[in-house]
Amino acid sequence: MSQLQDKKRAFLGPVLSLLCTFGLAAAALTFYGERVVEKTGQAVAQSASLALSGERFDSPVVEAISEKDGRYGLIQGTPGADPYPYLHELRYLKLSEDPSTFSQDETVSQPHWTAWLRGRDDAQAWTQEHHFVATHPIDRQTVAIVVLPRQTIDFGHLYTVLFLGLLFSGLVWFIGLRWGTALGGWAYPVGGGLALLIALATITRTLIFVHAYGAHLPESLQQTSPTWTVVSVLSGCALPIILAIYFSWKRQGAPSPHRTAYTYVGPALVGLVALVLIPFLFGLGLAFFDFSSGQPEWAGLAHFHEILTSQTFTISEPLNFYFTLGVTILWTALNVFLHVTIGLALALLLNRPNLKFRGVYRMLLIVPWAVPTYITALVWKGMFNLQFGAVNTLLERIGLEKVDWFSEFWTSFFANVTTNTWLGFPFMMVVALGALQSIPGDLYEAASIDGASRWQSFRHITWPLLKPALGPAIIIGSVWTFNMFNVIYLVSQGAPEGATDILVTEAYRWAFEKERYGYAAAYSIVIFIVLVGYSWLTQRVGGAAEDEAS
Amino acid sequence: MMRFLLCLVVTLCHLGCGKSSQGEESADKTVVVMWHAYRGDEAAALESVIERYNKQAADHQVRLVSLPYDAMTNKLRVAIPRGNGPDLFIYAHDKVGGWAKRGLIEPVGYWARPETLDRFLPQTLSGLVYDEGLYGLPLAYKTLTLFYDRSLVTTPPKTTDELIKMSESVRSSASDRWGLAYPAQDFYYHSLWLHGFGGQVLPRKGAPQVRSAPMKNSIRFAHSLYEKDLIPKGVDAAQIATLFKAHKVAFVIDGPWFREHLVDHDSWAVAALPKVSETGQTARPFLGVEAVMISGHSREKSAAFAVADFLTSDDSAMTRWSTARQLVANRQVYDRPQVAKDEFTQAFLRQLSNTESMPNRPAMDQLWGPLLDALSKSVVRGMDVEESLELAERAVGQVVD
Repeated sequence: MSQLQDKKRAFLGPVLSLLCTFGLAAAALTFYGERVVEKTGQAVAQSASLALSGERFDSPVVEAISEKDGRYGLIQGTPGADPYPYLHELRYLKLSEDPSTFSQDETVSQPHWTAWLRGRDDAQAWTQEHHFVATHPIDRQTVAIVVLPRQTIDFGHLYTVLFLGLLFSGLVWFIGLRWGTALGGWAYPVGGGLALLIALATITRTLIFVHAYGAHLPESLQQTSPTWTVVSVLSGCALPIILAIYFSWKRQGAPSPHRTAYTYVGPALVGLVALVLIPFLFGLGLAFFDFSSGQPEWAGLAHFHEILTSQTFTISEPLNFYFTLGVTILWTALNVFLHVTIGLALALLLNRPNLKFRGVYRMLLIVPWAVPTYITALVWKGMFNLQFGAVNTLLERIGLEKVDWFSEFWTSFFANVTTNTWLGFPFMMVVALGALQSIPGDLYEAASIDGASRWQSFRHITWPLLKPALGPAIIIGSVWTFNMFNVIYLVSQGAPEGATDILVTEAYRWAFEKERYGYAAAYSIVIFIVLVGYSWLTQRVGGAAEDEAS
Repeated sequence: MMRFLLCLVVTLCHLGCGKSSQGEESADKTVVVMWHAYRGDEAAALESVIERYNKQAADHQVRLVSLPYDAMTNKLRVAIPRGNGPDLFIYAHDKVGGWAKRGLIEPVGYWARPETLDRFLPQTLSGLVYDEGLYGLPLAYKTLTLFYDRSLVTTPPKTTDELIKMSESVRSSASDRWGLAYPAQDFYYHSLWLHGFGGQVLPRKGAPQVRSAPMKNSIRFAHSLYEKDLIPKGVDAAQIATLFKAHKVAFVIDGPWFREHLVDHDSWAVAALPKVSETGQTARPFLGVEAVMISGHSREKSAAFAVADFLTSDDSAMTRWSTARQLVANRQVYDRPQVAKDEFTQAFLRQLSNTESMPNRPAMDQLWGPLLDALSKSVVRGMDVEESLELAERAVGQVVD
């Protein structure tokens, strides 16, 4: 590759990606613009029908009604005033009227006239100055038409468009830098040419749209929140630029030998990005908005502040974040301890040589893990029922009193722990069994020759050789238990009054029972941060232990 | 390769932009889409009424789509603004406020003349009014009333003192018999005592009244029923029905859905809820109205109203009663001989005059959870009433309307 060609390629990349951005932005504007115009028409129709229903005539918008020909009149209003933001003028079009004389300086086309006669709510027409929307028919002779000035396009979605556009173009640029030379000289011009054609087509389309529908771009841009535009543009550019800088800095010479590997990993990476990263980013975005009024409103860090300071509730009340965090940590620690203890004990038992029916025992002991959690949880919930549950019946038989399991925190917690232990020990048992079977038998022989007791051989042979297998299993198990939604939600349902709720079930309630989506999203992000902190901690500890062992 | 794929993606995105949605139209008749969550008898009744409508409609046809009840609100909220929603749908009235605010439903005042509205029981209309607009036509109503077992109790109680006395005597007659059974921690049921004590949890305008004196008094009253050991603890709706069928409980407070449990029962009877002795006011339960509402984004609103009008006509109401025993909102139906003889239906009609319409303000949604917690603490487990209500008030937080 000559120096000149390289320079040209380096120049083409940014230019093409910029054109792609513009094209994408224009396409999206067209799309959104049309949608907004349509929505405006519907909103207008609704405002007008409210006015026509005869119940809002005392509103400040409607200034005068004149009775004419029995039922109809001319309603004049102030545009932009609540609750009729779109109502400008309401006219009644009689069948006999010639549409060309409908307004002094404009004509309305025939197809629209026909649509209005049918009284369809979506019948709209545009002229240079005005936007006409038909509403319901007054009677067979007359249709009400709302007249309003040409509406500007709502550019509220501009930031999304810019974000995506710049992200996309940045990725194109980055890919070009990365693989441009590797793919050979022809890929760039062909792909670039196609992108250019698309960009030109959408630019043309946008211009036609702007002219035909009279979108007033400058005013509309003013209406968009400037903070949002800046934030989205920056974040859209940031990711690909960071990646591009990093990789171009790394790659000084020949193309990477790992290209084949990247190609194989590619599809899985795409899946991971689409199914994990994008929803995560979406959730992260949600956490900064407040949805209580039904429309997203910017809330900034308010949700995080509310969660972490938890001022509304004292530490002993279940809705306090730290209370729930404490319960979750206790829940995780207790469960993992029980799982490991019971699992390891059973694995040691099963590992004895010459154990009859070992296969049968193993199969039976895996059953708790195999049965779907949902079913198990409901069965256990039934067993802990106050009146008819198996546990209380058993207690009565022994002569003890029935216990109302879900009315106190500790009994409810105990019920949850029992269920989860029953569900969770097979996993640890299987891991421990696998690890035990990999320990060579001659170690034990040597130990017994040296006179070591059972406990000593366990402590000095078995346990150190188990740790590499149990370590990751414990980390996985604790993360699973930390997020064990099924058991808590189905067995105790957070009884009493949310005390046994763990962080995930609490987040679920905020989202779907109280419908505070922004708050719940922030809650999930906090849970994520807690778990990330925990993983980092275990890595540090695990790494240190490994260094110690070696 | 990658770049080519990316360009392809861009092309496809662009192609998708040109589409504009049109209303559904077959060659001759327009289709009006209707969503509902009915099952069994109610679905059969609806289908037969719509079939009659389709036969006599000149230029449009109704297409019924049945949805799961739990998914309805979510689907409506998402689909309607995008233009994928129905033209009209059937749902309970408690979400009217939120939907009206967001323009998801259309006020019917434009088409509905006073003669149209005259056919309905007046109590069923008030739940559909929000901000001075009427947002649907009522189909049927649901409320709570008192069921009792004639083999255990001869006459129904007129006051709560009588209720307590009768329950005590039933309870003491056998150890496995109970006086009264109803889900005490569910605010939907507890509200009847609250209204009997003169309280209201959410007025038409203004903040919720969680810590009012009537609320505290009603909680103390309900708890006293537990203290006197008249109510079995920890039973759910299914277990209450089982107890009633086994003649193990004298009084049950429940709604029209309880009918299916009375099929084999030979000594059931229905009565109006008693007066609260402390105040002299009748215990008034929440009234829920099932209505047909028109989508705010529909393109066939006039046709949709014609369907709604037909669906709520007296003849259709009679079909709905006779096929599914729906408690219809049409006045005239109750005078017809078949209906006049049905004790179950007439009992609910009598209870109707002593009900409170369930608030349709969006703020109501925020109250259920905290009140459930407060009631299960204070009514069932006897914890401090003031504390429980104070926590509930904090949990409700700021109401957004």
